[in-house]
Amino acid sequence: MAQTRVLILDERRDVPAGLSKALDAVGAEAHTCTPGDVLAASPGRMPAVTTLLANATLSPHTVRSVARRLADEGQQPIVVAYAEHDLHLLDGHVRAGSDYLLPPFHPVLVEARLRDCHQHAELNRSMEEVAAHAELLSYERELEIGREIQLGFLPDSLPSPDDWNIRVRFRPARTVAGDFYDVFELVNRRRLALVVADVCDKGVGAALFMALIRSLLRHTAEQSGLQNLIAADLLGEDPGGAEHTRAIPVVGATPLLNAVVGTNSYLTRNHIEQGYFATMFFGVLDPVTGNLVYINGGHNPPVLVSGSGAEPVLLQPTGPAVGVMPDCTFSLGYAQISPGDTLFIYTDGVTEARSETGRFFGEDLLIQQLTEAIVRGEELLDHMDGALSAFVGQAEQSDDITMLAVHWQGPAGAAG
Amino acid sequence: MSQIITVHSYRGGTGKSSTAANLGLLLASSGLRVALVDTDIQTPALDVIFGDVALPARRSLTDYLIGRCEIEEAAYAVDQTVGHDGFFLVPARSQATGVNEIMGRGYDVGLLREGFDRLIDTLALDVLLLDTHAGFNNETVTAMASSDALVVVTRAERLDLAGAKETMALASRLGFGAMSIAVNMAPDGAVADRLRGDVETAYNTRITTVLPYAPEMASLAGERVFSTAYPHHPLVSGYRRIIAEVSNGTTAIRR
Repeated sequence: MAQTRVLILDERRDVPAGLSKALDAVGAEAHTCTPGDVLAASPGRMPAVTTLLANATLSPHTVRSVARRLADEGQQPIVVAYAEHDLHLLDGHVRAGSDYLLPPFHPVLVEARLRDCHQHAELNRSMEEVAAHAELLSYERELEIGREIQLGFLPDSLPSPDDWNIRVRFRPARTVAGDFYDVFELVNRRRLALVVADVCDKGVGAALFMALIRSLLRHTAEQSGLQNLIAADLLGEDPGGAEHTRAIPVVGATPLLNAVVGTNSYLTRNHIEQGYFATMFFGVLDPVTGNLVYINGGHNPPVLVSGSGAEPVLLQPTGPAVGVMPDCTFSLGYAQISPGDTLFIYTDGVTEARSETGRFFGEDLLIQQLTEAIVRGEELLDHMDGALSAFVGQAEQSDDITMLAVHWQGPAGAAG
Repeated sequence: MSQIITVHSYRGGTGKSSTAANLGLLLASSGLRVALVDTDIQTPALDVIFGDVALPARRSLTDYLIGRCEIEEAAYAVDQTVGHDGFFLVPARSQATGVNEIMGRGYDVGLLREGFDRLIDTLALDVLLLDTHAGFNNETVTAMASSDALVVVTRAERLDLAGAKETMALASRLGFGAMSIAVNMAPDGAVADRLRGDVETAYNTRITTVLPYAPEMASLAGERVFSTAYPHHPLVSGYRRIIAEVSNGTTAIRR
């Protein structure tokens, strides 16, 4: 047994002769104090001890105060109460969780008893550690399962229509994310849906709503067939905006509107009290003509970067974030992508990335970097990744980052 | 400039499809490149009317709408003596396509307009003529909204006139460049003054033409197009008056 360092606690610093002799005989280093000595000692002045031997005449409360004081100094001695005559005094201590030592104080018996007490305490301590560790592991495992399931809510692979190149970078700030992206075919494979969204908040709550919103959007868009509203609109008594009276929706506008408006009304009808919402860009692309019809629901404007050197175009919001206001209006936006152009859709984790000095990456730098990448003919996402890493340096990633680049390969030899 | 013309009636049985078939044939015979599209998916007629000269069709408007083919694959050259090869028919359904398929699955209405434009482009059409389902459904309203000119076929009777107000409200909202009201199946080719007044009040415009009831039509039993069988019949003159009213008579600028 390693050297035992004992602190004997007694109101009169009076140690039973048998006990003192026995400790001496087993080579223990013993100090004797009153509880007042320990409680009044200035920090760092108490000897380091492995065992606290407390006279059972002290109240269990007093002993606990002393043990706590020692714990403040980083000491965790085992607490053992002893009694010389009035053995019933041990009751309260044992109930309070202390171990006990009984006379007669023969050296061999005392040594064996103290050793038992130590082993018992160590076993208890390791059990607690194991339990705490197991709990932590179980949380981590649950979170890992959550992450894997969440990955199932993202597309396995991205469609690649002829002459189009679609790439994505997705980096959650934590194990699970509130960002998501989706690319899928619509209207009998004649169109391509492009979605990038950011659910407010981070972590598990945002991840749950990500799963809901992604599913609502995709399911509604895919199942959105004949839109009877078209006929209803034109036949209605109130013509509404006169300029729309002759509007026949372009292909893809119906699933787009149904998905966004339907998701908004579902969220505001069923989940408004939980306060979760999402900003999103949902575009429907005709890969044959490059026509894009979209809804931008309060999302960072995607950037349409020209392959021919024209000014970048920002696709500004056409409605509010989804899940905030019931019965709000989402308008359709239209854009034309030409061969050589790239549409860059991203979440605010990009523009709100912070440098070590606390500066934001920002929209201006984003546009500058995108233009630079095109001029140099670099792969857009690789370039943006590099630019972001250089800007952020050692600072911690604070928000999910999603970047989707949709590039129409120009005629051979063109930039891009 | 290419023109899209829709033939519509509020109720069924007015002779709308026969009128559309004859208008198509006469327009093509005048030298124009014409495609006739049957947008009446529920109760198609044009595939029967032209059954002996163009079909059986393997592809149709429905096949296009549910993603089985491109619209131009559903366009069949009609082997008629129009003097050129620019007369086409797009049937509403092929024999292989059940109406349940499209009614169960639905389709994106934007495809109709996109398909019309694509037909005009790929077939280099002067006129796209759309036959419709009676009343108002998505195909009919989208066809009307896509058109430059509207031909309304009606009978001079209260049942047909009941829909005039709705038809005119929609027409004024859509703003057609040209519109023609044809009163069909008039006994002895005439409409009594009182009825004529009723029709013109209901449609708030004058009647373009009164098409006589022709027993010859019934005796043809749909086996030939009327204007081919009876080119000099007064009914055919009536069709020509409709064309004069709605056709801009120009040919498309070829690209």
